[in-house]
Amino acid sequence: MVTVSVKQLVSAIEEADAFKLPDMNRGTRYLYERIYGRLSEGRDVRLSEVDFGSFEADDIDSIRELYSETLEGNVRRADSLAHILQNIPPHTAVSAFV
Amino acid sequence: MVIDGFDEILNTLYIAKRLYDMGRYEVVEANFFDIVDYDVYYENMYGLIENIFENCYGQYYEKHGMEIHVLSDPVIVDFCVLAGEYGKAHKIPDEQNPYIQEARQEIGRHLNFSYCLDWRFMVHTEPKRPFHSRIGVFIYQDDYVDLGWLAYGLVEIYEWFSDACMRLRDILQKKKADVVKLPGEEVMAA
Repeated sequence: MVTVSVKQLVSAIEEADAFKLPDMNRGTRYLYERIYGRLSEGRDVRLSEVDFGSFEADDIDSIRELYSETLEGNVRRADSLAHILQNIPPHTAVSAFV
Repeated sequence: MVIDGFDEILNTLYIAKRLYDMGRYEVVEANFFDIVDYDVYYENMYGLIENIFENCYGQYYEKHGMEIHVLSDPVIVDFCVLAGEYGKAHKIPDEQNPYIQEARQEIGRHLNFSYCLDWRFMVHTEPKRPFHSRIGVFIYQDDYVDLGWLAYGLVEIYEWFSDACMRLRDILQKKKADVVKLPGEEVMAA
């Protein structure tokens, strides 16, 4: 019988090389957390809440690169994985005493 | 989840950051929606195109499938007057004026990115009316023109003219000072 520990699965996904994030400087980290992080969770981002002193213009290029090379692919892989897990057929349990 | 139009969202942030660094963030506050969203990208960019320079006249010609934006600003007008002064001092006609040529090259560097986009730089070294020197931008509707690129180009062009005015003022002032302090002559003015 196949059993899945959700905790172990999430941990394994987070530690998988394919999902690891590269090192980021302070400005790129700010954009990752405050812009990408919020938008990817479906939350609003407002310009009036952006601290334009916390990053450089070059950091925007870095997050753009990170998104196209890593983050976008990770999201698609995670969606695909979730789809596979959701579609695993239920295993019929048979009790020994019946 | 995949973010719709993340590239365009980053373009918006990039332009806002450039204007913040230039000390012109008020243009963002006045023309960009506060919400960061792909859906408002084109409205943001149109707002910026029409307001990065102090004077703008826009018109859509349906018959020709073309938009015209005529843009001017004190930095453009002053630059042309200063370039004209330089030209007169060196007996150079406007067509051969190196500063006017440099300005045309700079505009081209930022606006020659689409065959559906054209521009004209109208130079008046002796302006007859306010905002006489100006840039005409023509957007043909035949194909897609990235308005973000256009808006960003105009921001860079604004900054170039602003810097060029300061540079030309310094050159002209230095020239005047050199004339006053010719070797072997008395200083005529302070």
